[in-house]
Amino acid sequence: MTALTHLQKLEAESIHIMREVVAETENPVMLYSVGKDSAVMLHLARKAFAPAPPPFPLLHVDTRWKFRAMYTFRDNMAREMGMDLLVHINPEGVEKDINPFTHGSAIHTDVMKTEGLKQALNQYGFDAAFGGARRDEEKSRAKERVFSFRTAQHRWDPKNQRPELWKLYNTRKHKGESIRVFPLSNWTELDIWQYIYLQDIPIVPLYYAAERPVVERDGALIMVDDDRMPLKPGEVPMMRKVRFRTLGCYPLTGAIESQADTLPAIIQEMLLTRTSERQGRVIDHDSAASMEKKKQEGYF
Amino acid sequence: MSTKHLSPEVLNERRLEAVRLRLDGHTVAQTAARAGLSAPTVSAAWKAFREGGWTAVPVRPRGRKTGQGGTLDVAAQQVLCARLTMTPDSGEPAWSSRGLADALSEVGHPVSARAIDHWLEARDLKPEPLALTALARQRSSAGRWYRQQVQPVLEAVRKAGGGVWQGGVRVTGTRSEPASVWPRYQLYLHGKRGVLHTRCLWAPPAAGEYMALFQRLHDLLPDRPTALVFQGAYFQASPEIRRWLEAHPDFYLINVPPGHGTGSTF
Amino acid sequence: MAHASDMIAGDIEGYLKAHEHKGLLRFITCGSVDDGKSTLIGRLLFESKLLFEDQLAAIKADSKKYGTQGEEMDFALLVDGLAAEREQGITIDVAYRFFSTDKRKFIVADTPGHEQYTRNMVTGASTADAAILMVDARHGILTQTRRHSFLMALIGIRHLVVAINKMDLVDYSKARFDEIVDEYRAFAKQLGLEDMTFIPLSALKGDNVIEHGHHMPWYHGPTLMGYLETVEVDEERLQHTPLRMPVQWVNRPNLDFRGFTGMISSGSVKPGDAIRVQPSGKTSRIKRIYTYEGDLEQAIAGQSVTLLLEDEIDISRGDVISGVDAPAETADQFETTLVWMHDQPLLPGRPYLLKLGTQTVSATVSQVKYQVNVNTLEHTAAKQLDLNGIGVCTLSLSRPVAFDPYKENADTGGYILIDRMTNNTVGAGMLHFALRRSQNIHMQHVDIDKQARGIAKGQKPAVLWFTGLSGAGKSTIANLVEKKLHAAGQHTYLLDGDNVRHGLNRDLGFTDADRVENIRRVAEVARLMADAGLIVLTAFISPFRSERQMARDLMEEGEFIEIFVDTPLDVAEERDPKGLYKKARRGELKNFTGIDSAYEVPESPELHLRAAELSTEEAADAVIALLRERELIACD
Repeated sequence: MTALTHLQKLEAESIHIMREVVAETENPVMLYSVGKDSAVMLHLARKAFAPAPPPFPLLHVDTRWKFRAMYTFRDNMAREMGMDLLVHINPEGVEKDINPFTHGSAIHTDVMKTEGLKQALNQYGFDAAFGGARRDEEKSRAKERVFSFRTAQHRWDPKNQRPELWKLYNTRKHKGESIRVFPLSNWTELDIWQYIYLQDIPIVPLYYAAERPVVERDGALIMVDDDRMPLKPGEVPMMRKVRFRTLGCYPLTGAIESQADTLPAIIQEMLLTRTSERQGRVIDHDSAASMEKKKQEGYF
Repeated sequence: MSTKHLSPEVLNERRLEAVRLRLDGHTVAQTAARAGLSAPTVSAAWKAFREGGWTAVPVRPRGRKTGQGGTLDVAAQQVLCARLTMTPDSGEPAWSSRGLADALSEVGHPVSARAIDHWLEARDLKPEPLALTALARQRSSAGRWYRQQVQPVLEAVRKAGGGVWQGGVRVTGTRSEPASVWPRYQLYLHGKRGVLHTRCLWAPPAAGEYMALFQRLHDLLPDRPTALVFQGAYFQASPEIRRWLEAHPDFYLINVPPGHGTGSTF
Repeated sequence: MAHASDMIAGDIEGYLKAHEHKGLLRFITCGSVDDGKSTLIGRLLFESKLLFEDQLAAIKADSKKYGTQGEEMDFALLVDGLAAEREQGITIDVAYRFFSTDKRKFIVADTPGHEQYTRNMVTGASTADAAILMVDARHGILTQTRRHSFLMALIGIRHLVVAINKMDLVDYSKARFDEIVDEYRAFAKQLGLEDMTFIPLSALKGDNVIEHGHHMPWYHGPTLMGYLETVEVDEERLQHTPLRMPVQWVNRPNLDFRGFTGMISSGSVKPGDAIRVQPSGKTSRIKRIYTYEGDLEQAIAGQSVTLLLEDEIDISRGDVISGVDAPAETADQFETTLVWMHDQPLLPGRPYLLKLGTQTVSATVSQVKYQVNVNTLEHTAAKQLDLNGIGVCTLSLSRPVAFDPYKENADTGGYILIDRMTNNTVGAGMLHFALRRSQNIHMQHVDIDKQARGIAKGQKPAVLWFTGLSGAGKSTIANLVEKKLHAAGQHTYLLDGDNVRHGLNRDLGFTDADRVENIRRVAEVARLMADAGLIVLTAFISPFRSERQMARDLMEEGEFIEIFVDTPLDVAEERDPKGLYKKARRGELKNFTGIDSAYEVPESPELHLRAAELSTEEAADAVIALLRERELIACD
């Protein structure tokens, strides 16, 4: 008898979770962020429900500030999968023109992503939403359950959460409550990359290193994705070979300098450098004043 | 035309090119002009080919190995570093090894240009120029770009007796040293015979610095056209540079598309 | 590990190839921070993840606190949160941590070891293939060790490692190690644990964790990592047991494709294999094993697949596809061990929902036979189970389910109990065996079914459940409805307090528990009658929501019609047809609904009759109209 590899087991577990949700909830949806974890989750959904397309739509909560390459990729993906793509943009955010530059990342994310998601869930009446979060992303996620119960106001109440034993998931809920389900809970970053590599899953080209126009902002390399990016007077972006470890709103997502333009190279780089995924900072860039000082001190 | 200042790689590439041109039937004079070599060098390369085939054409590296020359003392290095962040008074677009040697001598640190050349190389401040002539024969998209966008311009500029430059902007020395110690941004140019002119900056060059550079290049031959093949900058985003270029129609700025350059912004 | 880094740097494709075939092991660590559990886990994480710059820097800096030669790093810092958890209060959380070597990927379940965390430990252990039990070499076997061992045996962990830590503090003494091993073995006999491995180690110094080190040359067993990399994963064992696949979801994209999806829990399956579906008992053969990548020639335990069968038989979510020769058993009464997981205690007799595999049914704990003390293993009598209580109980389900004894298969023998009102998971249990009278009864597939009988009578069976206060008018209205139906040629039966209390339910009184039992019996009888094709009318106060829900769950979709005869208390009391309210007011009647016992108003009855405003005739007509609307009787 053969043994299953760890990826085969993880895959089977995720498929099992997805099928449980479809069997026991009324109106599920898959949150699609266009990133690599979403790509894996979508691929798993395809496998879980084949030969038919997955019986739920994709929901992209758009902040309007994603990389252009993400929008193109998203639309192609939905078409190919034969799934409905719902794109929700917080209308109040549009009215007030909420953006990362004027309002800062905290407000922008809060209004466009967090509030936007709640609006979309309410609007369509979804009672279960698949998300691509993993337990190894942050230390605080180690204790997260696969099924996370939310009140009608989308709040998380510790009294509502259930222990998860064996392969049993208690999906019962009251009217108005909803569940967030994380089928990738036991996958690590390396598992995700290995799976993408082995299964040849298409991902947004921004994950691969290429020469791209970037400017420096507070020690991070930000890509000049379109002409909305405010440049300082006289600023000329440089073309640098960079790639992205996570994809989000382009003004808030730092690139890293890299030569890794193939999947094995990306994996190699990831294994060798191994800093946490959410940190996208480049080496600190001192202000010109302190450098002048250093010059005068004869340090240089 | 002396080829003494060319690196062995560039020299050899040009020698091979010369042989190909001679095979195509060009005269020695034509070949010399196109390949950027002196007539005697072309003849020597051609002779080597006739006698020994392709493998005989490249020359072995000459001179002492890098780093074997005398190293510079600390004081001299400090002056060098300081100068590199400034623009030369002489009107040269940026610092050549020769220019730096002269500057050092003026302040009592006599150093040879060659020593400075070695020093630059050791500190990753001597980037290779883009091997443009080789692109002429390649079937790749880079080759096509060169033949369609670049070659006609360069030929026209040369024909009119103008100046042809290559250059770029890059980031030097990375992970091993903390950023604040170095002015990590390097503007560099390769001129006639591949001579390197360079400057270092603490921040990415702004539009003003580029325009000053272009102006200097332009002013070297004020009544003639100038062509600059440049990599590493995203000029499209700068309205000031756009306007400058419109005001100077005899200055041809050719951007190297991403992926076609040396890619060494590291 | 240096050599891994070299391969990654030099030949990434080769490295990836080597890691394609890793297995997966889940294990749980039992112990407390004081035992050095965090240091051990931290060291495992550190050694087998590749060195990463920021965390390495962080622990190196912090390790200066220890004032040693700088050689030792505080690995426990990599594993945060355990201490903090204690301060934050007790939660249901289990922390899952991940690491990988080139042999396997590991998932570590980690919970604090105190007694209040029993439910967490049971949760974390439920998916584990192996358990590491921490013992401090200085202290030896403690109460905690016994408790953890009991829990691991209970959950069915087959592979136990007793990690005798802090050997550096007992001079690496072989004698001490042997002493502890002997003591433990003697204790473990009681629990029936068989596969135990004892490893002397020092998580702080590193001996026998990844490498043997040189402090204990007398020890020739495996290192902890060596053990973890080679111990058998449970799925491998399960491949050799009979086939079980709980059906999750029926996949019907078009008329030609009807696939039953699920994860194969045990055994293996090939096209052509004969199978039996439980609990219905119907048989067929496997036609195809469908996956996205193409049909499989064989599928084994742990794979999620889609099965297509040769025959068109009735299968739905909840059924278990078994091998034809060794099918799952079916039963509706069991002996079980139950772990209680909620603040509100277990109430025997109260209906809960039970989820077993993909089956969800109504269940009651009929009796707690005894409770087990987790520390001493003593049995004590108990009437209920409190939080973290573990008891052996009798469990009674509303209908038979397919199952296996837990020790044979955790997916078909392990279940959770859900509170119907709050929806919380309140308990987790393991089925041991079915109780006598229902054991080994495969439901023979019967040819005459309810539908056939109904058709013969020109009606669809239904249960009209009249509920309301005493004197509300339930019996009166029900009687009239029955007359009208009879006149139309329908076949009916009326179950009323009067015709039931003196016979079938003669032994019951009016306590809450007796009311529950009363309704249960009535519901079961109604169900049998509905199965016979009758339209059954019941007229009982039936004051509790959960009991009415239980009755509803017994019937098929659409059969149960709840009719709320809504008469306000004062009106009913005024009528007082049997003089009962007067007696209750005088205190002669205890537990009287409306006076000193609650009536829980139906939230969404199929029909809400404001009986005070309607005449009996009008009320009865409303009922008949509803039956016509739902096409349970013919319109004429």
